[in-house]
Amino acid sequence: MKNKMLAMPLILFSALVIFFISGLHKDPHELPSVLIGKPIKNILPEKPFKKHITLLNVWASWCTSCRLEHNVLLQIAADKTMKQQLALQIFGLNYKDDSVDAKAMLAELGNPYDKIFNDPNGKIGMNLGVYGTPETFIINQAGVISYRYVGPISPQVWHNKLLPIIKKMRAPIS
Amino acid sequence: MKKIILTALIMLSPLCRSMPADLYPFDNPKEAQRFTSLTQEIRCLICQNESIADSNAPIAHDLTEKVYHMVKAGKSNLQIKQFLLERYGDFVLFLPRFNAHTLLLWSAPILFLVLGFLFLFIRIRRANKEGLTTL
Repeated sequence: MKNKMLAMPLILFSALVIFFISGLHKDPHELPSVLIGKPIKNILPEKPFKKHITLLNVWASWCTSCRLEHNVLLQIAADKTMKQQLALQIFGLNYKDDSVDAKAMLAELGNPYDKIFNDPNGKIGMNLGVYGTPETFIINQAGVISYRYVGPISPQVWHNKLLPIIKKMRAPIS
Repeated sequence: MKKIILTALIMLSPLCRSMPADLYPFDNPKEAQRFTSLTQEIRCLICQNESIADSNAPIAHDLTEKVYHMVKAGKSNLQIKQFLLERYGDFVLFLPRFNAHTLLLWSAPILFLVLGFLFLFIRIRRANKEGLTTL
């Protein structure tokens, strides 16, 4: 009995170590969005989102990280077969940006967006809980915000995180 | 003489930073007080150990300005916090709300303390009972 009690602090400590290690692997900058499950209609007009799965990409011409993911967005946009199969569309939310600078960036690098919403003073972004660009939301066919990714989308993130989520959503709703 | 003036200027220079009070003026001192305390309770989501009052991140400026306008518009502290919680979640406040979700967070320190004392208590009792000189 004495040996069991002596082991207790070690057991407790081990449990704490496991708990803290799992915590250390989480990135504190990737905050879960509290808008998941909420409809987009209170934040942006609903109609363009209906019957499609939408990637809503929050970006700006001054945002250097956004340029890192621009190629990935262009590749997704170029894959018209995939877009049609998944009823996928890419919308951009131009966040706290100058429309002249924004247009210039798209002219220079290419435009992956099917539609762009302008948010020059960041009001729409604040309603979306945006805290650092780039952020990408996935909105399902019913216009419900279903996922948010914070940070530039790499090919790995697209294939391993976002695409699986979109494919799951694909089943049409009646 | 030059040295004295120069030293005095250098020592007074910290006063030259712009205080939020200049950027966000209030007519009503109570409102000013509310604004100051609120902005110190709200976390900057980029510089996560700083309040929006202290941080220079863009989101901190945006949220500070929003809080300013809401205070001026007569919104209560609860309404302002609710606005932020609805968009950014519990993490945006330094003091998390007390609900089922955060129950473990709030009670963990006390739980550890109680468990620790319980452990000690049982050990001491057993040691006394068995007439042991060490635990």
